[in-house]
Amino acid sequence: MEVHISDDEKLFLISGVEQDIRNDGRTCADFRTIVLERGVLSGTNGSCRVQLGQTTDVLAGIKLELESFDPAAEKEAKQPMSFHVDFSANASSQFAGKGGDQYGEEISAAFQVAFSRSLDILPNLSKTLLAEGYRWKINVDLSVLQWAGSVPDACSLAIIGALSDLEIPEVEVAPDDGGKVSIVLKRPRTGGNMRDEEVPVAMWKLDVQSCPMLLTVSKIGSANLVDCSPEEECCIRSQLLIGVAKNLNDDDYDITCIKQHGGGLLEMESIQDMTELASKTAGGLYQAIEKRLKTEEKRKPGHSFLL
Amino acid sequence: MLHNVRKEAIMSYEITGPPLVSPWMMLSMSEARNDIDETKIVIPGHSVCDAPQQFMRGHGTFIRDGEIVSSLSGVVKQLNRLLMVKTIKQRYAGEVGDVVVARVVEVQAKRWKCDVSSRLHANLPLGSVLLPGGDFRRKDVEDEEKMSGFLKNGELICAEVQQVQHDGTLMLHTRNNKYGKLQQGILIKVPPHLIKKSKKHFHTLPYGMAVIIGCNGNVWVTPALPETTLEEDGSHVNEFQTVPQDIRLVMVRVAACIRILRDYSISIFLNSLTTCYEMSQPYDIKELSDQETSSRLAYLIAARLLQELQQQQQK
Repeated sequence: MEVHISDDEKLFLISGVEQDIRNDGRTCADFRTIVLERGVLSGTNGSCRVQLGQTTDVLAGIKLELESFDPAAEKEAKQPMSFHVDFSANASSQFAGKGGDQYGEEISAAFQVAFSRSLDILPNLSKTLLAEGYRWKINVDLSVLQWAGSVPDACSLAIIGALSDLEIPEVEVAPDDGGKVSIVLKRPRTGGNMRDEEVPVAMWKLDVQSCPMLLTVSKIGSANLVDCSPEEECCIRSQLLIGVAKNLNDDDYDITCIKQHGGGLLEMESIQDMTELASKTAGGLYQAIEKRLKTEEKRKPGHSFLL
Repeated sequence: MLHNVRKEAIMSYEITGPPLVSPWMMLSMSEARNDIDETKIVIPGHSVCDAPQQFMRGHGTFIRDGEIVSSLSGVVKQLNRLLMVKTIKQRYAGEVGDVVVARVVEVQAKRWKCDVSSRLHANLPLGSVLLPGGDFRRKDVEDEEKMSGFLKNGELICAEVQQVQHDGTLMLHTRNNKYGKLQQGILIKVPPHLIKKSKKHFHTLPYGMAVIIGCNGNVWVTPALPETTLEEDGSHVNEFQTVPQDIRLVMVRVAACIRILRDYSISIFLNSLTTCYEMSQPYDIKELSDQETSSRLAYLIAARLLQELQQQQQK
């Protein structure tokens, strides 16, 4: 669906956001209702689906991979996550063919930057480094199923949801011949009459309460908005993708990246205003996510969101 | 007025699970189902009648092995010996005299192509619009050159269906002061089958604003009804006025009400709209998009409308 909107409608919308009244009754800093559910894909190690206002729909799935690397070649420890965003042609006709590839790459690159310091930010992410030369690689794949504006925001919520759903197997590392190591899954015996292979593997989970998120803040007229609808995206003067991460030490928010999307010029002052809005929004979203992750009931195994 | 006092802006972030009751389940409350016999609902491939010799096949049916079978999903209608299937949900078909809200998608020689969410784009011929200098003025080459100055791509118009051609193309006209270009406002798209046809589709509501309920499912919420005023050179008088905050809040609330009616498949006409507006008063506009509030509200509105309808029938 391509959005056409006349000049008069644009004027109405712009003068509206300047009065802090958006066409759907929200204020500039409000998000649409978010629907988040985890464990939606059985073929993944962690998955999550996020809907924004019943329209924008993003599905995230995580696959783990045991990766061997050359420790001598890496001066600094690399963070183990990699992101890939794919736009379904069903989401909007503008993504048909290769239409969504460029935007998808842009968003994945922004996520890569926002998460570049995640080894320092996430408290137990360094546990993915198993031994010298071996680590868990976390492949995060995102699919945009429906598009109605503010995809990066939905993606980052889906990433946090999927990471919190992710179960990483515990392993035992034993030295092997020739300086190598052998990695074996840890199966804690709890008694009972089971063969070794039948004992479930011990799993651990990531602590996501400080996981970075990427928020879009858009300038329309003289106002700054979060979570734009497609009509509002037509009126955007310039847009920033701002990566925000919670700082667990002083309860403040760190900006991990700022990227501009699309055209438009911005004054230094307005960039400051926009980052402030982003960290305020992030504060609210962190709280809401924490609450949701605590209260969510586990879905029955085998039931997918398609049902 | 109550709306002048805005509550202190609190940023709201709400993350919930998927809804337990889908809006589709509420479809059973829609008035479309009231006069329908459940046994007469068919899907493609269903047999329409068991005595094919006595009936003729009509629209939406075909004959398979000597039996009349439906090719659509909808309701069986009978007209004497003619059997036809009428769909409940479909694209806008158009009837002469309908008021539509359309968006200009192309300026061609001597006509505008408009999107009316029908199967085909509708035509608005240059000869069917009001131009300065009286009705009977000849439209010349000069007017053709000025067409895109008059109505541009992407602009919204309000028009009447003048003619439906055999292939389903609609011919529109705006030869009346109440039709023409629409200016500031909010457009809400709803499925066309929810629009209830009535004598009037232009309504000035007592809350200080107006709505145009287009028969093609485009509902236009606007500060005031359009009145085409033309200047000497034929261009529209385009004075931009910022809509005051209290009127804007009413408009946004009405828009939210229309979305509720749409999401819960309640037919849209003046009465349902005002009922929804009055009943939404205790809530904040923001809350109206909330799943729990809106489903409760929609249920109450549907019940109230049904009650009013039954009272009318008893009289």
